[in-house]
Amino acid sequence: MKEKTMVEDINRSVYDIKNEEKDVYRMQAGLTPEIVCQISEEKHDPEWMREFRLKSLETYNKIPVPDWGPSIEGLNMDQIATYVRTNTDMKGSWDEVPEDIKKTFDLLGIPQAEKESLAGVGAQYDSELVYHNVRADVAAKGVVYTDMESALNGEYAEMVKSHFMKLVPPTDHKFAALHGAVWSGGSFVYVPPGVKVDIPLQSYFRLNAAGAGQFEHTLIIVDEGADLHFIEGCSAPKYNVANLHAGCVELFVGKNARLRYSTIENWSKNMYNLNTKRARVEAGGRIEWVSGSFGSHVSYLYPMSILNGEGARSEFTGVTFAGAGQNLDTGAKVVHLAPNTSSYMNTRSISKGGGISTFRSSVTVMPKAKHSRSSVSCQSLMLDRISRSDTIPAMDIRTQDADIGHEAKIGRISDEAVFYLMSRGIPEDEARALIVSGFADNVSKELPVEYAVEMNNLIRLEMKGSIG
Amino acid sequence: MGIDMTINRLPAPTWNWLHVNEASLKEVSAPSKGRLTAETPASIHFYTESFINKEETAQQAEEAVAQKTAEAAQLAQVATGLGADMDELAKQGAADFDIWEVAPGVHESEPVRLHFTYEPGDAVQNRIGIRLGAGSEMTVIMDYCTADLWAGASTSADGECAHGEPVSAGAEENCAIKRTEEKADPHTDSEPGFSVPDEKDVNLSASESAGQSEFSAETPKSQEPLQRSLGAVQTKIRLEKGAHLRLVQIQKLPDEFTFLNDVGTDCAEGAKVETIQLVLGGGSTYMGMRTGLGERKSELESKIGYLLDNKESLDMNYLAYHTGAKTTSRMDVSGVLRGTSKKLFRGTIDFRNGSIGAKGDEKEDVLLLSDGVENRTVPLILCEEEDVEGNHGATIGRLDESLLFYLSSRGIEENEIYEMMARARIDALCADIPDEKTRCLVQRCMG
Repeated sequence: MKEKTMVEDINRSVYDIKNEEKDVYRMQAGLTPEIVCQISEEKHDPEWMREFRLKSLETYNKIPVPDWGPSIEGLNMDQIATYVRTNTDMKGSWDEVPEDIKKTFDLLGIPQAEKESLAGVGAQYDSELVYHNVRADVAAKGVVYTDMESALNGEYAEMVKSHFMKLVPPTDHKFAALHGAVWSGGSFVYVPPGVKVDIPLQSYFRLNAAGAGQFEHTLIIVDEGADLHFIEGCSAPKYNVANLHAGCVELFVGKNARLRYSTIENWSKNMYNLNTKRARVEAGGRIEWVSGSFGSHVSYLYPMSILNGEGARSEFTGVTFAGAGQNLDTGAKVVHLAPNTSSYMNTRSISKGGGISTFRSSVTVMPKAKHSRSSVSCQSLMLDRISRSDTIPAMDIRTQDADIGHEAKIGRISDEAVFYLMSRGIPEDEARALIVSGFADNVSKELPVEYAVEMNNLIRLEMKGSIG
Repeated sequence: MGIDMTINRLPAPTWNWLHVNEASLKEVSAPSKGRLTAETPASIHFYTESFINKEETAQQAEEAVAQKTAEAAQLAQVATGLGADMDELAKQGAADFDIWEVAPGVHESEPVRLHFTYEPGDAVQNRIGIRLGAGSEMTVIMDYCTADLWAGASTSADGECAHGEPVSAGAEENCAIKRTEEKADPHTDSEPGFSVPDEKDVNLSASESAGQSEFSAETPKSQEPLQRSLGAVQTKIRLEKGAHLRLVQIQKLPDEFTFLNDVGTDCAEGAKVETIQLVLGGGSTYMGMRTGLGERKSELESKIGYLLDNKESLDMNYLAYHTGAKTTSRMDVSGVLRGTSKKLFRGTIDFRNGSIGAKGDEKEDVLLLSDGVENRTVPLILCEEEDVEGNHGATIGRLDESLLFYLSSRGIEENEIYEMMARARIDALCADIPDEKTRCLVQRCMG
């Protein structure tokens, strides 16, 4: 019990900060053509976007809810406000950001991280960005890092138009259609040919409003031979009503370019996280997904890589930790379309306290993808008898010239390992937390050190929370 | 008008666009009972479900009838891999259960051989029940082929496989129950108080043409060509405490056949079922096997091999359902695809609450020999118990480069290496079949 109290007092509070909703514009709850038009007006959309939104709404109304994943019966779109905006513009300096919002991001460590280890930061609060900045030396190389609205209406309008929801069309699934109808916020990044951004850019998404949805759109284009590491973080305080996150990430990786996209997701446990991420990789290009899923009540998250050019590569490294009240359905998809492409998935799932974690994946190798290689490794850890862990991979191979490997394991923490650590003077709960942290090191070793520390803290938090 | 069937449902569905969640058959005509020739050792009892319900049984001891009725009902309850629609098909058709039973403690070394023969235009179904009493042991070998194939498989004096002339076994009668020993008179070999009917009483009607039956694959965009012949065999098995069953199934059918091979087993404490299934030909084959490992230390060991060519397709659904403590399951799948053949393997290890200390392993090894093939693999591990171990491994594609290099360095052409390795996959499984006659049949099927 003492441990549990300590957790509540020290750790969880960082993510559970709730700011009073004052001086905000909140769209009425529900989803109608009128509401969609109102959002479009609020955001000063060009005409094509207004039409795009309405068409997406039509598509949304036609597509049934998924019949294969966790239940989303608790999500009632009539009770979700799809647009909530603080009455402030996006700022380029933290000092200009309203005090309560700035304090929230301070506690989350964003301004500090910006100073120490980031080339640029975008901070979204509810439906709009409140802060955006990119280092002058990075901007000087021609790197564009701005909010989606500015990109849509500014210099890069055509580039946005030609890429927006082309990888994830609204017809893809119900929540892609929802996103197309009500999207707001997010970041646009363009890295010119040959430019290597040495330190990462980061976007942080914070949903403060109860009963609201966040629908940010991230569009990143890494041109030929360029290199970028983009970090996405997200969190929300816990409410007693359902919140919804239906973001969309579209990544275009040019010839011989490399993009690393890292995410530490820590939504509150009343959140329905129905997010869609997809990358298209051209010849010789490389996409690296690093993904840690810790939060949400229900999650559907499967970053997809389309290996479109010869020699394109994808790597997915993920960890999912499902605790009490959570049903996290995560994994990855890869489609090999071109010769000599390769993909690698390495995931870990942990279930505890009645949580449900599901690893779901697909590897598709099309007939033209000769001499392609794919390897999938997923490991699951059950920490008690009341939890659940499922592994649901699929492989569809349509050429003889492929080399496909898959391995999956499920098990528990070895008593011998716990005993060994305890014999060295480490208390049992710490020993178990250490073992779980080690189990998830496939992800933590791929993250910048500050984020790896945060991830390990989240694991410790979850582990300690189970005691008492 | 036939019935629409949904079979081989994945226990935990995934993305619909993968088209692996289930398979569908449209307008399946009610089948008649298929031709079956059985070779039954003396110690094995045989009876039919329909016989239990006949008026003649009134003359038998009521207790024995009641017991047989209960046993048949228990068998009928056994869930299978293809699923409940196979039971529905049986209700539509004329097939009742033919049941083979071994008494507690009996170890029968001679196999029960069940030969199912098919002809183009068939629309036939058989339902087989197998019951093993506590501590008993038996082997059942089932082959599904055209009449000429199995009849030609025999061994010469020196143990080599000989290819005999085809004979029309089972052609005159749809079912022949033969005893493998002289004393095996069906009238005298039955349990006290319960007699086996005359062969003429076994209601296995002549098969009729499937006529205009249509079968389509699940994927609406790539409907399978219509198959004009249907064969279906449902096998339900109950193993009592400590019983041990070896089940071998060999399939070699012409391209025009749609074949449904459905197996379900329930295992009591310490029971073990070992299966070897070889698919060596058939237009569209649907196989399913569900094994209930409901009681402590029950075991499944399943080996599956296939050779698919041309436009053949094979759709499989295997489930090891662990609810008992310290239960174990192992599924080894090995196969070869050529031409434009298609294969879908769904393999699920399901650890339910109570399966403490259970272990499950799945392994699949697929060799792809043509560019037009489609290989789909969906290996699931579902787990709601902490103290379990589940593993899955799959290798799909070409041969390992070092193996290829080694054999090439010995002067073997690459094509030859692939042919050799393809055959080796089936040979390895064939060697495990505990019956020389059946091993010869396999060799004959492979040509």
